Amino acid sequence: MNWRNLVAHDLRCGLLRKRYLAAVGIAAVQCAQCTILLNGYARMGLLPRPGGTWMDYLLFMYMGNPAVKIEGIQNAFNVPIWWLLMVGGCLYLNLDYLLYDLSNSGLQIIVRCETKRKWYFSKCVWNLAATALFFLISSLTALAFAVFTGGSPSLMASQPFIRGVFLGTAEEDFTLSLGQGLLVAVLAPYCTVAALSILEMTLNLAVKPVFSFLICLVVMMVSVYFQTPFALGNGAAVCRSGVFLSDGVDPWASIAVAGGVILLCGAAGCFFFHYSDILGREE
Amino acid sequence: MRIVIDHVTKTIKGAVILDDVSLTLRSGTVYGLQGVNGSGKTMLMRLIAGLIRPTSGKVTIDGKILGKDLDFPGSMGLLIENPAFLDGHTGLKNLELLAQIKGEIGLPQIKETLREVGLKPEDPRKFKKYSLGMKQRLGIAAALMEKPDLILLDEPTNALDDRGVARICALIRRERERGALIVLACHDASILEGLADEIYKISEGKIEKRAAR
Repeated sequence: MNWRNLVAHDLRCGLLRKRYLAAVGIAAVQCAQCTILLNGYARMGLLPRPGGTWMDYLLFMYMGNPAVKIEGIQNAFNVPIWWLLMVGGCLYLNLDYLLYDLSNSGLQIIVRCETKRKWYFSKCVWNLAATALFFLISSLTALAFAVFTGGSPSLMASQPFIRGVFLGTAEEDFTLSLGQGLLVAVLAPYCTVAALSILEMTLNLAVKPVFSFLICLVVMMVSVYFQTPFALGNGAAVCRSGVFLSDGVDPWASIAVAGGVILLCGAAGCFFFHYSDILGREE
Repeated sequence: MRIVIDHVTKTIKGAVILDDVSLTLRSGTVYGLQGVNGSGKTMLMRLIAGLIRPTSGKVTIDGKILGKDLDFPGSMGLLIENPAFLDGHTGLKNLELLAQIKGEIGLPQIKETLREVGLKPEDPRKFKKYSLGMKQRLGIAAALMEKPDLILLDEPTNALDDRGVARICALIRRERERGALIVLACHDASILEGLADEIYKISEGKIEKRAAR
């Protein structure tokens, strides 16, 4: 069996799907809100001109919200809807490829693999690539917003944006370096979303896709209330990062947890799939 | 190749799909499976293909236990249920992509197989534009193109006209002469009678030998 061609098949069939264009729309919703915010800063004189940098938009997309401390029924269900849309959007787009492939040419492919594990491992590679594609499309959308709204394609965050968005959390003289920006706005969210996506695919082996999606949404919702790297969504919530907060979540710890989840789910999926029956649609 | 199905029972969600099935299958033979819808024909094929695991009993292929020593029979072509391929590619491209996985055959063999099943390799139409009969022929071509030792065909004559049926029957006979082990499920008794060396009737997951040619 040619391993490279197996992965190429999954990348070709799994990524070249029109559904991933929806990432533009999802990112655009976030970027539009960011533009409104930046224009407000410009009107207040905090920014010399409307528009922010590419990094401003990247930070905003996965900003999230501070951990919710339940003080009563009023704030018990403080759902960060836009953050859920961003992370959940990627999970939704990645939702059904495994079963989609099996109901198309995947059955012909899998019997040409020597083992089920190889086929499943190829799906894990696809999953990581699909999440990367979502991030690429959303990042390019952010770049387009930065350029076409009068901002700049710089990967350095603007100081008023940092102070404004992370008001009360970032120090007055805080400057976000390029490395820190890429870490909290791209790498940590990518690893976190990739981990959730692999978890979703693993759950797909046991339950219907819609339920695996809902379970992952629940995992994300848990992280809304707990500011710890072990609550998986925290790595994709920029405003909780230890880069900005003294008691924030260390992005490297989030990445480590996400990496652990990816490895664990990949191994569990391979094991479980090995013992699973491959049945037809009506069976 | 020698496949031994040894007292296999398969239950799914409490329902017995295959009930204490025992069979021995050998190369160079066409085995026919006959039974009504839901009798267990397709499940038996999935079992032999390694796609499902027995609840009890075992399947061995040349002495190796399927699901333990090996996941799938090493050299197998199959057509189970409706043939499914990538909608946006031509038949030739679909088979080319499939063949690349094993890397055993090249374009000339793929084109030859397409002609043998009655499809034109140069046909520019995408799979989604294929008629049901063309899809079926492509599915059969995918099963045969790598000259596998084991061929599993579930209702291969579905959607085919008389000429198409005759062509596929001739191909199955040729594959038997080559030494392939062929398992054929077909609702049309006359096709099975004409092709199969041994016919087994399946009813409610139980198997009974009906006739030998």
